[in-house]
Amino acid sequence: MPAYTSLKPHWFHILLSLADANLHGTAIMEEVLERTDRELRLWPGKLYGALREMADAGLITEVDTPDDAPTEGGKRRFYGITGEGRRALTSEVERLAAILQLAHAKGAGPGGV
Amino acid sequence: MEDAFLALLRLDRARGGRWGALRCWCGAALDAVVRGGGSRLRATIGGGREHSLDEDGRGGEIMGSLTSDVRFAVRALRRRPVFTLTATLTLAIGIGANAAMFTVVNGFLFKPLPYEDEDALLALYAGNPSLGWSGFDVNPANAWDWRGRASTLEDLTLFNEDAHNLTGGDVPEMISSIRVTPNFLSVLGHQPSLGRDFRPDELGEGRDRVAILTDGFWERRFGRDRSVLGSTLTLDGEPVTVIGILPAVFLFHDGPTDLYRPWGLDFASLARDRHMANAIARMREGASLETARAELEAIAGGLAAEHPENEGWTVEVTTLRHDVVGDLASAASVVLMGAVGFILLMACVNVANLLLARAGGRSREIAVRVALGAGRRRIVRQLLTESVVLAVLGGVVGSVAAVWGARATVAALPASLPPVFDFRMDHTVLLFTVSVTAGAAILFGLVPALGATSPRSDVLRAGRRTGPSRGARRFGSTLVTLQTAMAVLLLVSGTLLMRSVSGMRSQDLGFLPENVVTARISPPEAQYRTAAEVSAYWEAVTHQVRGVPGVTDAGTTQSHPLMGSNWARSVRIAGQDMSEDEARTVRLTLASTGLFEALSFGMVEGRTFTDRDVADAPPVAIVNEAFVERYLGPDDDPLAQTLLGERGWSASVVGVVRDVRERAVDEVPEPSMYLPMLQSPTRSRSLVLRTVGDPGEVLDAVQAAVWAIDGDVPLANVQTMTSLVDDRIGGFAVIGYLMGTFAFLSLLLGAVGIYGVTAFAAGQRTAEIGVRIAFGARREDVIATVVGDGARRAGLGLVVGIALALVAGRAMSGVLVDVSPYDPVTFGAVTALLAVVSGFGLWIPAHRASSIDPVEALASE
Repeated sequence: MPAYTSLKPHWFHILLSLADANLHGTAIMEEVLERTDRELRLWPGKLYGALREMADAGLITEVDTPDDAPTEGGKRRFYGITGEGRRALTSEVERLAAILQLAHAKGAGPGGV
Repeated sequence: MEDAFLALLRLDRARGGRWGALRCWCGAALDAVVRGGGSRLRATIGGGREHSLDEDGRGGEIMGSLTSDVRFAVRALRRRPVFTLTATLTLAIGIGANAAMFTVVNGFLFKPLPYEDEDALLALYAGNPSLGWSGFDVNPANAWDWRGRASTLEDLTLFNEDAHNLTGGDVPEMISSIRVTPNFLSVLGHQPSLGRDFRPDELGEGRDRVAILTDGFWERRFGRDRSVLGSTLTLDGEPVTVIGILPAVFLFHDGPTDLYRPWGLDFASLARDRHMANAIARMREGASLETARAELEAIAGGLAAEHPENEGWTVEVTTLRHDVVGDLASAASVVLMGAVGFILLMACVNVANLLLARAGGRSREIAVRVALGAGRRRIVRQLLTESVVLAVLGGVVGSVAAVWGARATVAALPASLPPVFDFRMDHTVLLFTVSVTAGAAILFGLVPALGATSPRSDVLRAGRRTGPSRGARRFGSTLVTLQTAMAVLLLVSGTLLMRSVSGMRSQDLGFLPENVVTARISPPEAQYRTAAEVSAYWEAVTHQVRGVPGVTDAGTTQSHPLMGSNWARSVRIAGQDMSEDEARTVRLTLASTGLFEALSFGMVEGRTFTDRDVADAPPVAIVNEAFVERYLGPDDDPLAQTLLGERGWSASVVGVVRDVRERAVDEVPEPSMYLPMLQSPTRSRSLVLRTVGDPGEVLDAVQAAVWAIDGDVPLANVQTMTSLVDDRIGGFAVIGYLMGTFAFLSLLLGAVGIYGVTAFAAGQRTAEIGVRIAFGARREDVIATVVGDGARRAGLGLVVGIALALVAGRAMSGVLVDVSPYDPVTFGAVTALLAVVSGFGLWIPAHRASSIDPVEALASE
């Protein structure tokens, strides 16, 4: 049974962008912006606040900078998803899927009422 | 963090240009505020970790100290709520007045007209320099030749207003239409939202039985029923097919209309001296106003040679924007923006004063901080941050006020304004307000901040509370002079304009507009074919209407005063030795019996028209005073004159009427001639009624009376004469009232400013005054000490202000009505008012100083 408390949307998107690659802050912001068709903007304050809080919560962790990362403008800090983070992501996806199923059953959504 | 922001900014700028970038900045600012992230970030930065979460440590530090500056400023402002409130409200007045005014000006001057690529659109008129005629309607045949020959023009369209009787529904209705060439919509860059556009072959006699409805008419008459498309309307008894419906966003500057129809004329067969169309042309890419004008003038020259009727006529070319916006709106925009600029300057001066006063009080604190090693730049930045926080507060409050101010101003604009202006706030207004706010913050913040931190070693040594530096004090008194001068300037200009507005209202129009109502009626040609039938219809209507209770007089005319009609005729005066082509041009008004009474025209001598002035009676005419003055000699008896016209027409003058303002409230009366309606009847007329009491109360009965004669003939443009007068002076009245409001604000700000400076200066001298009183100084001496300097400064301000107002008055003299730009009453009243207000501003602190208890004053040391 999936959890019914939801993950904050921007936490969810940050986890999603780290699901298949370790990224630095700006790259996360750009990935989310691109993926959501420019709908979700992670403003710097929100992004770095979330990264800190998520690191504190053990969902993500700072990882070594890849050797091929460009270094101009100072060293960038890269983040990766933790096991805990992956579990939170999976549970959120299941929760959303369950809602989707429920909605379809009630005839809501595209093509529905 | 900076990287992330810059990446966002790059994206936004690439996508949305400057507007996108602005949005990004705003979003980031909001983000910073919402997150309140400063403290957390600083905790992280200072947390001793080798790498901060931030990718650029320095950026974070600046952000951190900025946040702490803002917090510090907010705390400092919260400690002194009265100061903060005063400063915020003062700035809100300045910024709000600017933002509101700019919203309106933006709508006039900067927002594009609702046409595609409007910069390429030109308005064309006919002019005849040899006769001194300008801005005439163009001749369609000539204009069609311009269109065919000009290489600088991509296309050209012709339009003119028309009206139709729409029958077949519950009640007949007179609807307004605009006759256009089939390319009309495409020239303006629009198309119907439903149905189709006109086809080129739908131009010309008998081919014009198609119509495109406007969205408003579709809604009003058909409740947005789509089935009206393809249906047939009965217009003037003819079937007309609805082929399209325009989108709601289509607005045309010539005023709201119900439908568009093609011209029912064959341009090729039209005489070249019939000037009857308005023209809009679209320039080709690469063409400019100058090249288009040069080419069109050359073509018009050629046409004058080809067709003798074009002799002397040429084409006048201007941009459509200039044609629509007009000179008054442009000039007024500049004047009003100047006025609100002054208001903002006064507000800044006041806040600078307040800050100076505070900085004086804090000089010891600042000196201590400097002595302890705080950099001057750091302290200036801190003080400037306080100014910025104040400005933002003022900006926010001012913007809210501006929304209301702009709405009120727009609501007051005359109804006859072209409906194409968009006065909603947009990003330009936002950008303007933000820059004004930022500019204000720097303007009022920098001087006090720099002054407060100038190196002054004596502050600490003195060991007591000290006042501001001498430079700052001098700055303060200069501000008083400046403010007084600006207040005088605005008060005098505002008063002169307000008096002009009331001058216009009370101006003798030659008729009494009160209790008069007019309606336009046009009996359809299908039912009333002959002149006799038309006359009979009008006789019956007038008779019926006169019987309505509440109606005291009723008459008809082809054009009532202020309607803007331009009928003219050339006449000669029998006995005056002049050739045919020296004929006098006179305005022509056709008047039925009862019209002069309904409008309360004043007769100078002779009689008005009576029922005996019928078609087969001897022709008669009435002339106005301007006619007598201009065309008759001092010894000529006007009532002994006979007027001669074309084709053997002649009429004897039977009366002289006082001059009537026919077109504008402030026009110079032109020589005019009135002819009896029965001797030259017209089909379309204005029914003019005078009522006892409110004309609105008899309207239903009047309408019923008209329909009792023929239920298929509608009434249009039913309006009171006073509303027409209001509309004619509306634009000017708005300017007058705005200037009056600004004058009041300037008086308020000026008074606050003088009070502030004096109170502050007196406060700084509390100890000195205490000593004086202890040694037996009289109250009057103390008051004189405190008031003296301020009074001198205010006096100087008055003199400077009066000088400026004299210059401004001369510049305004062209628009002033009924009041001299040097009107001594206005100048005297303003001077007295300011003297009283400044007196109060000076007296209150002086009075307080003179009641100082010397023991307390000295003990406070």
